[in-house]
Amino acid sequence: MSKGLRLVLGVFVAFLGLSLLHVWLNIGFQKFNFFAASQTKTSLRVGFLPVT
Amino acid sequence: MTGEGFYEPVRFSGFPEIKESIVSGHIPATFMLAPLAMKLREQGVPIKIVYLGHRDGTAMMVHNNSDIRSIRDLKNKTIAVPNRYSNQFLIIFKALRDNGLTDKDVNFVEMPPPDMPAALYANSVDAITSGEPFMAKTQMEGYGRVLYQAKDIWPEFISCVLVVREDLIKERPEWVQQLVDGIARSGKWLEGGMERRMKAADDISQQYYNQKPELLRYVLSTPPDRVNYANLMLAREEFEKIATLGREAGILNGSASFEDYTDASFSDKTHGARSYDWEGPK
Repeated sequence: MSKGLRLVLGVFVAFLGLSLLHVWLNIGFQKFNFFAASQTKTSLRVGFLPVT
Repeated sequence: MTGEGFYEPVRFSGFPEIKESIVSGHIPATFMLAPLAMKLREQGVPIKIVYLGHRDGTAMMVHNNSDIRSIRDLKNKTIAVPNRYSNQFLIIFKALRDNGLTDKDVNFVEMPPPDMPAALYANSVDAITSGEPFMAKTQMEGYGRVLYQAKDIWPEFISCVLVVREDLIKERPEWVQQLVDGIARSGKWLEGGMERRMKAADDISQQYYNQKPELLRYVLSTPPDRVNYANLMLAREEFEKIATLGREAGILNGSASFEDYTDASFSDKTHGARSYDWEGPK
């Protein structure tokens, strides 16, 4: 395998890895809502309109 | 916007957005128009009314140079209401009926309360009605005149109620009780004299309302009973009156009972609640 081909494959594998990591993080944050879950354990969000 | 306690206030600019947020579960608790909460329950949304937010605090305003002097003069006029599922709409429905008119005799437009003063100023509508401070704002700025205060037509008028999702009641009942207790005790504190009302007006005007302190001072003092924070417990007969009027106006169908749309257990525990021992904001 030529050095050039190895470089291209290396970049491709790295790109694939980053893409999978990106997808996994998105699923984690959006579907399982890590941030929201940690918020609801410490505070209660109460909606209001600024009218009496 | 962040509160200092265990809760985080989330400010909205209109009731449709509040409705979507509580229905989707984006927020587990909110203040909302009483008939809107009852309608959502009729539609099967898993929410319960657990306490009142305040009483009275609603007026109908017309332009200073308007020829509208009585309810009868509203015939063929355009009135802005915060939502069709509101007690502001029901009180007009009742007032029109008492004066030999129907809701078909006027044109209703739904409008977020913060937009109402500008609409009245520009004569885009003939009359506006919502909770304060937007009605008083038109008075203070010199172009609005009170046609009626809700308390004069419907004593102990209920506008907004505290609504929570049933899953919050199931998972965190202690939070719901803490919130209800806080409203009860804050209400008692506010009813402890005009000096306290003025302190509260100064403190909340910027933090919660984004309004000038003078406006909140005016709302809480002119007249002193313009808004009432006493007796915020849930009462069956008051909600049944809203339900009856709502059915007559065609906005409710009566498929939900008092037990369906309320959970009075939290409210019942505030009986005898005492005012906060608080000197007010520094």
